[in-house]
This record gives sequence, C-alpha cells and structure tokens, in this order.
Amino acid sequence: MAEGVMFHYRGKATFLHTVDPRVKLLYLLLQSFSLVFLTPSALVIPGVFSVLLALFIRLPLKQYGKEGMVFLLLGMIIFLGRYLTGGTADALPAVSRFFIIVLLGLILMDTTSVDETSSALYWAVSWISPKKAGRLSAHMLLTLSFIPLMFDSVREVREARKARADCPGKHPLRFLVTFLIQVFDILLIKAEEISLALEAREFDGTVHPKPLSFSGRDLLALCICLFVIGAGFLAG
Amino acid sequence: MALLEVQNLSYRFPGGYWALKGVTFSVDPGELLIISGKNGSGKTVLLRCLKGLYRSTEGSIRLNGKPFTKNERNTFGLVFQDPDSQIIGQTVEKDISFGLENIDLPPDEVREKAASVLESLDLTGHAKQHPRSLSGGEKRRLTIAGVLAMDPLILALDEPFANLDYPGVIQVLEKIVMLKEAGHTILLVTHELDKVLAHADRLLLLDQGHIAAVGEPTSVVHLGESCGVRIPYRQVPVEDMTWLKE
Repeated sequence: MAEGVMFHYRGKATFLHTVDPRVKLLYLLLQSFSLVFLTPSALVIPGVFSVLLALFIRLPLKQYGKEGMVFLLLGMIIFLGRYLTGGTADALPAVSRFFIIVLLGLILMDTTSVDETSSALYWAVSWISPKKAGRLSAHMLLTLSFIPLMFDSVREVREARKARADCPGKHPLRFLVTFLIQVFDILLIKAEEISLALEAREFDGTVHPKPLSFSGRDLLALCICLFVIGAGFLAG
Repeated sequence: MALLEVQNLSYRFPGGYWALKGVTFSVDPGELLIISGKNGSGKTVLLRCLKGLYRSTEGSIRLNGKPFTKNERNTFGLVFQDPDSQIIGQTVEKDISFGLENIDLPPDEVREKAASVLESLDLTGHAKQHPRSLSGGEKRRLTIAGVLAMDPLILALDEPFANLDYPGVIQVLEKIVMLKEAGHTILLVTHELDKVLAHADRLLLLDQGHIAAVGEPTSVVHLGESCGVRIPYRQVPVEDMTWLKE
C-alpha cells in the first residue's frame, strides 16, 4: 500500500498536519543543528519528543519494513565507526542523533505535503532573492515529489525479483549491481515520463505557491518547539 | 474547415527508427477520432508530436488553417497513458489547479474552473483526497479533469482504458461520451475497439508508422485485424461496439 511507503505524505487531520510548514521546517533545521551541541544525557529530551510526535501522528513505522532497513544499516555503520574510534560512549550518542534526525524527517514528510514544503521554501528564499524563489521552489517541489518514486521503484524491483526467486545469496555483488541498474533504469523512464507530463501541462520551471498564513496554533507549535530545543540546552 | 490538419508528419527517433512516416489526416470540430493500431505502430508518438513534446522530423500541423506553433500547444490537451506520471498535485483539487496556475490564471479563476471540472467529472467528493488513494478509474478521470480545466480545443486521450477494471472503463467511457456530446473534439488512442467504437465518428488505423486506413468505422473496421487490432465479435455491428448500456 502507498501508505506504507517511506517519505510519503499522508493527508490526515492531526494538529501537526495543520501546523504552518515553516514552523515544522524551522524546527527540523534548528533541532538537527542543536543536536551537535547536546550532551548524551540531554539527547533524551529531543529523542522522547520525536517519539511522542511519531506516536501522536501514528507514523506507520512497522509498515516501512525493508525500506527502514536502509536507515538501520546506516545507523549500524555509524555505530561501528564511532565505536572503533571512541567506544560505546561515543557511538551511542552519534547513533541517537542520527535516528532523531531520521525520525524528524519522516515526521515532517508524513505531515507536510510537498506543496507546503515548497511554499515554505519559497517564503524563505523570497527574502533573499525574490527572482530565484520560484525556480528554487520548483526544484524543491520536483525533488521531493521524486523521493517517494525512488522508494516505489526499489520496492517494485525487489518484489519482482523475489517473485522470480532471485536472492543475493550466491553472488551478492552481482545481485546488487543488477538491482541498482534495474532501479535506475525504471527511475530514468519515470523521470522522462514526468518531464513530458510537466511540459504537457505548461510547467515552465517556476512555481508561485499560495501565500502561507500564520495563525495562533502555529505560534503555539513554534513555542513548544522552541521550548523543547531550549530544554535540551538547559539539560546540557 | 477542419480544426486540425496534419500533413506528411514524420518522426524519427534519435537511433534512426522511423516511428511515423508521412502521416496525413484531419480532424473536424466536435469529432471523436479513434486512432488504433498494434503496439509500436506510432500512436503515442503521434499524440506527442501533435502536443509538441516530440519535434516532428518532417511535415506540418495546422490548427484552424494556421501553423500550429509551440506557443499554441496548450490548446491541445494530452492525457497520458500512465496517470501516475501525470498527477503532480498533492490533492485532487491541487492537481487540477496545477496546469491552470502554470498558465498564470488569477487565483479566483483557477478555483472556479477547478470546481467546475471537478463537478463535471464527478470528483467533487474527492477534492481534498490524495490522488494516490483514488481508484484506477478515478485517477484517469482526474488526469482528464486536469487537462480539461485548461479549456483545450482538442482533447487527446492515450489508451484511457489501459489497466482499468470493468467499472473503471465504464466511468471513463461515460465521461468521454459526455464530453463528445458537449461538443469537444477528441482524439482517442486505443486498441480496445469493442469498448468505444460505437461512439466514434471516424477510425484511423496506424501500421508501422503509416496510416493503413482512415474513415467511418463501418468502412474501416474490417481492416483492423490486418493492422494487429483484434475485433472481438465480427458479427457484431459497429454501433454495438460499446461497453455502455442503453
């Protein structure tokens, strides 16, 4: 099901879904940046907050299945790398930071449509360069739209190969190479189709998103976010 | 006077393969022209050339007697075979608005047109839904709605019944017939003639990039099999070749 695909937006009516995308994007950026400065014990605050948010929106973590394995694998690589150089005390915070960022990214993508993210970016860039905002925002829109397609393609290829009893067992390298070639082949075909479809719908490479409005609930959300970031710093 | 005139249209792929060779035909206003032929006969390439997505190697295209320039190609609405590649918006309503915003219509007009098209294609109840959650027939209607909202002079549908179940085909077919009755000029590419031929004014058969035959369905349909198009019930008259019941 599409709902189980990572980095897909699921249109729900939770508080978080209706919050201004600028608040969510700002929190993701500030929180990710602040993680670097937090002590291992202080990481509990953003960690617990992220998990609560995920529970609040009922993020379908179980449905992500093998797609989530990529992040587990990356987490293991980070852990191993840091463990070898600095021991467990160094490895655990590094892995925690990584998973908090991934979880926040998943929450953002799950609760914020591509249009909204694009609008938030348009708003931010238009302060610096109004002329480039439309184009940059369009690039963002297309890139974000393409991420779910990548996951879809990986899943399609994986299931098709599984159905033909193909497994990495005997020749893992050959499996990996042919798997990637097949995925990229599908992606290139899809990319060409999408590019033609965009042209057919008179898309000229720029977008002019609708203006965003900042309400009382957005202010409340912003205050909560700043409180969590601040609490993390106070805790160490 | 014909609405669309295509003269000696040819298209060669960069590899050297001629997908279309000397294609000449015309389309009258309000006509439903079915373009058929086996896989690889050039049907999709023809539509993409008409839309200006592929630059034809030779030949000319005229609209209302004037050369059909790239700037006027938004008067030719093309609905792709795979709806997933054409759906851009995060909700049904936003997807319909996408094309309208691209042609810089004022927001009020965008809302008005989107609402009107949503209603005419029975998608109003799905306006706030994510397009991925729609059924196959609904997705296809959404792609038609997205193109129709832009008020094209000609609506071209590439394999609109592909991968649809029976209810999906009926949903789409009903809308096509409704659009034809409303006076829209429609080019419909399909090899499933039994579903729609009864509603066609003319049938054009393509074979390896050439026009094998073009004319009234009754006079051309018997040539279908020689062009790789299966006519399921030869004893059934053309006027009964539809999946719509009375």
